[in-house]
This record gives sequence, C-alpha cells and structure tokens, in this order.
Amino acid sequence: MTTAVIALSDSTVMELTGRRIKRVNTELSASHMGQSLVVRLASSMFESMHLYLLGKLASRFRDDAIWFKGAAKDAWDGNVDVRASLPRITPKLEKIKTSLLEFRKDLLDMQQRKGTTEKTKHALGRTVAAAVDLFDSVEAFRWTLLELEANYSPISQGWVANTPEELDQLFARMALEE
Amino acid sequence: MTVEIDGRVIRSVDINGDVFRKAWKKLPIEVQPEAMQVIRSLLFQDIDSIPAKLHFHQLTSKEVPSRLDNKKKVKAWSLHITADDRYKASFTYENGTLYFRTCDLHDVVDKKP
Repeated sequence: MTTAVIALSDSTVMELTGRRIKRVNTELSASHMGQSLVVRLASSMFESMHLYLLGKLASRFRDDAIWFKGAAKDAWDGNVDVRASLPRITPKLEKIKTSLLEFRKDLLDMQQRKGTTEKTKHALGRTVAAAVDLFDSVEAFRWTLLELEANYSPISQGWVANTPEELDQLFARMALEE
Repeated sequence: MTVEIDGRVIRSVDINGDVFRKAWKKLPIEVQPEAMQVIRSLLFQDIDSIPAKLHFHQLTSKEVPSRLDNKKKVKAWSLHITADDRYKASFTYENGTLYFRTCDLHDVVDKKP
C-alpha cells in the first residue's frame, strides 16, 4: 500500500478551512429556519420531522468536528506557515464559535420549554453535545494555528528577565513598544 | 551565602518572541496586570511545584522548535494566566528559562449548563 503525502501549504489549509467554515455557517442558518418553522407549526405531528432534522444536524456537526481535528493535525504535522492567512481566518473562526454558542442557548431554551417531549429533549441534548464538540474542535484548531504562528516567530533580543523587578520593567517597556 | 538552584527551577523568563509580544498587546487591558502577576510568580519556582490552579503542564502532542537550537524539537508547555482560566500562554522550558511563544483566549464551553 502506498501512502500519498500531500505537502500542505498555508493557502491550501486556509482555502479548505474557508470552505468548511462556510458549510458550518450554512448548517447553522438552515437550522435556525428549521427550528422557527417547527415552533410555528407547534404540533407533535411534526415531532418526527423535528427529530430527523436535529439528528441530521448533530451528525453534520460531528462530521465538521472531525474535519477540524483532522485539519489541525495535518496543519501541525506539515508545520504550515500560517502567518499570512491567520488574520483573515481568525475572525471567521470566532464567528462560528459565537454562532454555535447562540445556537446552543436556543436549543437549551427549547429543552426547557413547556410541552417539549422527552424524546425531543434527548434529541436536543444530543445536538447540543455535538455543537459543543464542534466548538471545542474549532477552538483547538484556532490554537493550533496560533502555535504554528509561534513556530515561525522572529526572535528579538533584550527581552529576558532574571528577577521579578526586571520582568516588571520588560512588561512596562512592552507597553511602549510599537 | 550561595544557594544551589537545581535544573527544575525557573530562573528566567524570555519574551524575545515577537509573536508573544504581539499577542500580549492584544490581550484585554484589564487582563494584562493579572497575567503579568501570574508570570512574575513563576520565577524561582520549581516547575514540579507550580500551583495546580495555573494548569502548568506539558502539551504531550506538540513538539516545537527549541529556542536553544532550532534544529531540535522540544515539548511545548502551557499555563493559564488568569484565575478564571479564560486566558492561557504557551512556552518552552529549557535550561531553567521559560521561552514564551504565544498567549490568547482559551475558550471553553460549560458542558453542564
């Protein structure tokens, strides 16, 4: 068995990440529409549809979480130089995290709502768990990019402290640094 | 009087990394004094006796370029630089010196809301 080794570049990682971010945002937007539709219809007749949608969403989130974990590993193993792309990709990752937190809150509120069946509560709980796992994966991916940036950090001179007082001076000097 | 300091004691802090200093300046202004005190408190501490609340530990899955020899790889470490665990920093520990690499928000969702 031969193994293809793909040399990852910064642009490849960022292109793929950008596409995955778009997909997650689409999933979150569609879920908001789906949830409000179900709430408007508000009938147990539609519970099976609701459960189906929640299950599908949870599955997609789990898929996305696996993707981000794999992307983090591949980027790290390739020691990809992300310095050029990091300023562009970071706000997008933060936006996904914010959206996932809002989505989680909505689902938790729905769980508490009077009339929500036990079946739906469990499905909501599983979807929340999948959303949280995705959040953690996105955050771990973000930190992988920060560590990769640090791997390529230029190293200056004159910023070493051997006593607490020297450290205080360094931080004061850092505040003045351009 | 001389005092023997063995190899497990933190003797200096190095923030020569431009990425670290850039990241530090992006920390919220209200976070910086507390983070500074945390880093300050590490000097002359035995790395095996750092208070658990700082979550000072090696990152087992990450090896990074050594600051002493960039052809070599060493384990990265991290610690929480605020009491609420919302911010963390990463560094290497080599020959008694903490070489800081970066710092930023450490976003965690409450699993039991």
